[in-house]
Amino acid sequence: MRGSSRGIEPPYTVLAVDDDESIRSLLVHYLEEQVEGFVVETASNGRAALETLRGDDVDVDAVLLDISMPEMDGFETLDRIQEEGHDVVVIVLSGRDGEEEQLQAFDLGALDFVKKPFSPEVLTARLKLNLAREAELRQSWPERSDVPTEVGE
Amino acid sequence: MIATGSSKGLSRHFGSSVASGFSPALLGGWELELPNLWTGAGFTATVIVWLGIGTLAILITTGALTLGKSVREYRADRRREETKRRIRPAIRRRSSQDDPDWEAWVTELSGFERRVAADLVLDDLRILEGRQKDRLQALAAALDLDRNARAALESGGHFDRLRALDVLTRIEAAVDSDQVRDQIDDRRSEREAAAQLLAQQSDARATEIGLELLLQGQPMTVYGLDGLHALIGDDPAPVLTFMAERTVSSERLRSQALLVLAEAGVPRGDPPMDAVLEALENQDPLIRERACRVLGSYGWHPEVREALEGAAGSTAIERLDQLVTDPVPAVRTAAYWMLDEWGDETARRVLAESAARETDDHARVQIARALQRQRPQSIAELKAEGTFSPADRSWADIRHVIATQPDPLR
Repeated sequence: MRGSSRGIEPPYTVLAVDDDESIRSLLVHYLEEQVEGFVVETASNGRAALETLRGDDVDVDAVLLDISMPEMDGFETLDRIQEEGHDVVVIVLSGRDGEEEQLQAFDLGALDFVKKPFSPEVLTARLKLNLAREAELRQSWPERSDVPTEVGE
Repeated sequence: MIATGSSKGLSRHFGSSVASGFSPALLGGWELELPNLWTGAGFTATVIVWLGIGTLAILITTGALTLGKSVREYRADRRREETKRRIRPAIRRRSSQDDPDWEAWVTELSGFERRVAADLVLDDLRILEGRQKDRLQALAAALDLDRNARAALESGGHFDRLRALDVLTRIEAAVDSDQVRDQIDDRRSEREAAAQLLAQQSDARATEIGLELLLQGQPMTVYGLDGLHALIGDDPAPVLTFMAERTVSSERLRSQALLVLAEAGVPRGDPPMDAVLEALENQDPLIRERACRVLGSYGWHPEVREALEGAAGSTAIERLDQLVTDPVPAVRTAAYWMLDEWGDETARRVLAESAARETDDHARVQIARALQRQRPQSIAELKAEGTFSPADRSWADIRHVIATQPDPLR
């Protein structure tokens, strides 16, 4: 479990979780080669993603999470991410964008929902915006001494 | 039976054995009568031996050919994967540039590399939107995917046509809908692939032919249902018109069409509702249930309200009563859901009356949910308002179920 005091700053580490290899490789290519400031790790299902988040090898800042995956789907993964207290920005990438699905994703803690097929440029813009907001929010935490936090765990 | 022994001994006995049909042989001191190889049982044994040898030879040859084919395929796969790994970054790098200059790049590729590049382009077109997709469309044009697919559709076999329809769909090619219909055969797979292609065309004729391909013939697969969703888009009016004016070739197809219509939202204009209203009377309870789900969205439609509630002098009001007293609980549950969606005074009244007689637990939960949403006051509050009626008591009695039961239709 990661503490919430860690700051977010470039280069951002993004975990791309999708069972479709084409999408994983596209995200790696685009975020690492076409724009600056990202390092991309990949996982092909929710279980592997959680293992990466639990490990000490990488500090993940954001997760791009597919919903329909074998072994452990995106919703269950999102639920576990919140349950285990991983301090990451989660953006859901899904081929299905029904009202119910979007609401469920936001309910479980996703900060954004992007429909597939997607524009890598728009996705990157949304990713940067969410990371910047999260960084700003975390910077303001020490000043808000009245708000109980998990800092110091 | 074949006995082993020295070839010399066997040959010595062979000549004298022809007359008797058996040849004696010595095995470990025992003399055995061996069958003569040319007459009677001997002939049968010879045939069996040669059949065995022949079968073995066929098995060995087949095994060798299969192994050879596997090795060739493995090598081809490896070559394809290596080429993919080499070409994919190049395609993605160029598609991020304002001027990818595909024509020049494509001329440098071998025939094999072009085929691999075509697969990669089609794969990425499936997942991309925006400027990168536009640039990949240009690469698809440079690779002649459109022209090759049209040629395959014109003169290829079944699998060539399926692939061609898929390619034309991925590259979002504009096609002549009547021509596409004439080029495919009657197999469900081709009809569904063609419907996916026609769903991308913007003209009404394409929608009409697409519906004809899907709603006639064999029942739809999941791919066909997806195609019907794509054809409908955000306006189910053409499907309602088609179902009212044309023949849907089976009850299974009718049921599938209603399933898609139930999720398609509200139609534009004033399409005929006859097909859905008729479905309420269908023998198949699944069709009646699905028709209720469709009508949940259409409570505003005057034809629907008139048909279900009854205009002056009409007996159609019996239809609503028929639905909420249907012998199948799933149909009644769907009817309560429909009334919940309507959410007006008539719906509330029918729901309250139904609560008094409903016996199925799932259906009672649906009524309770609907009434909870539309009339959340307690009995005491209703009495204070002066709006309490005896029918309200029955649903209030099952109100406690709401908190513990899942929504039966979700």
